[in-house]
Amino acid sequence: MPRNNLLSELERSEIPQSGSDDVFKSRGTRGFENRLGASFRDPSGFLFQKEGTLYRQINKSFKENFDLLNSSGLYKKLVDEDLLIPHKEVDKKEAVTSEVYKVIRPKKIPFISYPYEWSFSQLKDATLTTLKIQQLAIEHGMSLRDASAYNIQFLNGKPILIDTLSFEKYEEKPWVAYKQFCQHFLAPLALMSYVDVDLNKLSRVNIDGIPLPLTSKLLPLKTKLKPGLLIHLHLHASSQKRHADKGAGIQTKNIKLSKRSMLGLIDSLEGAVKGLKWNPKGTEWGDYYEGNLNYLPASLRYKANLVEKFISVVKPKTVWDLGGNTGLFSRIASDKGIFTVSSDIDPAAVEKNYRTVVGKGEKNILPLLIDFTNPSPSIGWANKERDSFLDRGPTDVCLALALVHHLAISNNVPLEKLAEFFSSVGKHLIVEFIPKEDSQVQKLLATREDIFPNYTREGFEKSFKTFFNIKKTEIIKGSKRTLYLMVKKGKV
Amino acid sequence: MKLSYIFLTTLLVFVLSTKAAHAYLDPGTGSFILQVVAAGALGGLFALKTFWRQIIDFFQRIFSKKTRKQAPVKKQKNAKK
Repeated sequence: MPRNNLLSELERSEIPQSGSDDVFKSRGTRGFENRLGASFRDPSGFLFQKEGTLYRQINKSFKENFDLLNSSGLYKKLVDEDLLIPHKEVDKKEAVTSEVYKVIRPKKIPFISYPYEWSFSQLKDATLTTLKIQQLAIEHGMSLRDASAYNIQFLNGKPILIDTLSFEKYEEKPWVAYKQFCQHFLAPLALMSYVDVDLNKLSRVNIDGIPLPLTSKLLPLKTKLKPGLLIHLHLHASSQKRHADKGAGIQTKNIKLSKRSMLGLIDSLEGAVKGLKWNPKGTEWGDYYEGNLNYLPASLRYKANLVEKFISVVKPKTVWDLGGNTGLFSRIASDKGIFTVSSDIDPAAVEKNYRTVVGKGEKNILPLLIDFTNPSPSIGWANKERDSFLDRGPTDVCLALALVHHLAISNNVPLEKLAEFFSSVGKHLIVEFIPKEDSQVQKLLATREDIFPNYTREGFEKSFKTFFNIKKTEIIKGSKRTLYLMVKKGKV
Repeated sequence: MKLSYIFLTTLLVFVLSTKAAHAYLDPGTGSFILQVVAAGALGGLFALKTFWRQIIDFFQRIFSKKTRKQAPVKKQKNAKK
């Protein structure tokens, strides 16, 4: 079904999303129409797909709160500050069930990403955004019902809340989302800051945030000297352990928490988050573009010009730069206004990339942390709540510069398997082949046996021709490397 | 007959006393208790912080008024979003 025929005027003017309709069909469980696989826990409403468009049904049970969101002025305030995704109300007949109060169509996010794919500062900004939203909500007589990191997405380079139904009328009672906030946001940030930045990956395994007892155990003793972390992580963990068996023994429903206490709590959490820092030092790839013998600055510029030329030939709507490091080449596309996902395996590179996005106020580039030998899998309930990275494609152009030799030599992936992989990722491929004579490949072969007889230009082209048609071949002047523009064979 | 009446009444009371379905998230007993215990103190600290900031702002305004007497004041336009 050609997607263009079903796009409305509004959608045509928005940033296009890369992704096939097959992905949407695979989401949701049977009998739940086209509900999104992650949208089932909340009885107030849910997201669903209809003919390629994303809608949110709001149920009658949520009428009061939804109306208050508008009448209190909170919706307008949050949308004006780019903190909440705007939406349009549509005809009720689009509804999936009879419980419908209203149906809305939220603005589409060009690429869905998950907290375990974010760098430290991306998660920190998402956290501070959540707290800012809660502060504004309270000012308008409302409060967040949940504080899930999955409710935040990146749009135009900044974090934004996508769950319009997250708000309820504010009453002077404890914050129901406090536990979720600590597990989804504060725990991973503290672990990344004080233990190891790789601990963000724990979020992938724990679908509702990192457990606090585990967090408390992993954090060093000195974190107990920080009041914010002491209270919201360590004491919080102890309290959880102590009351784990009590269940409904305590009457928790009528306990009051004054507005001043609530604001104090939020302020304390904000202080605790702001105090967490992580500054990437030079890592394996940190100094990548410096001191590289086979890579004179002129050849770098030559390669950049070639990439730009190839991109102008294809005119893509979306680009994925795999192994994009700090986004040097990703920006060739994003600077042209093309939405670009710039992914890399190194947290330091992704962090630097994101800091550039923030510093320059860039809107079209999304840095993400992805290991292509083990990309994000589908996880959650029935393995359908959070999509695998590859299910969020394909993209128009896949950029694979200085990547193939890492996968083929360091990771022993046969060239044909690589070609097959790339053909599932994007309709077009801009790929760089680096021969064995190059110093970078020499480095990889230095500590191991050369078991790669097919790793030659001829072998590379032969393997890739199984899946692609090679449209352009250019030698990168000043080096022995070759840059290709390829188009996927068959229906594109 | 009397037993089912008691059962029905208990059920009704239980159902009526349950909060509306909006609070779909389980706040967690341990988290709840900690929050209540900590928030009182944190609220007090916050009030003190706000009060202290107001005092600092007050003195800053007085000080800047004194310096403003020497230099002309430039009118700042509020940037509209």
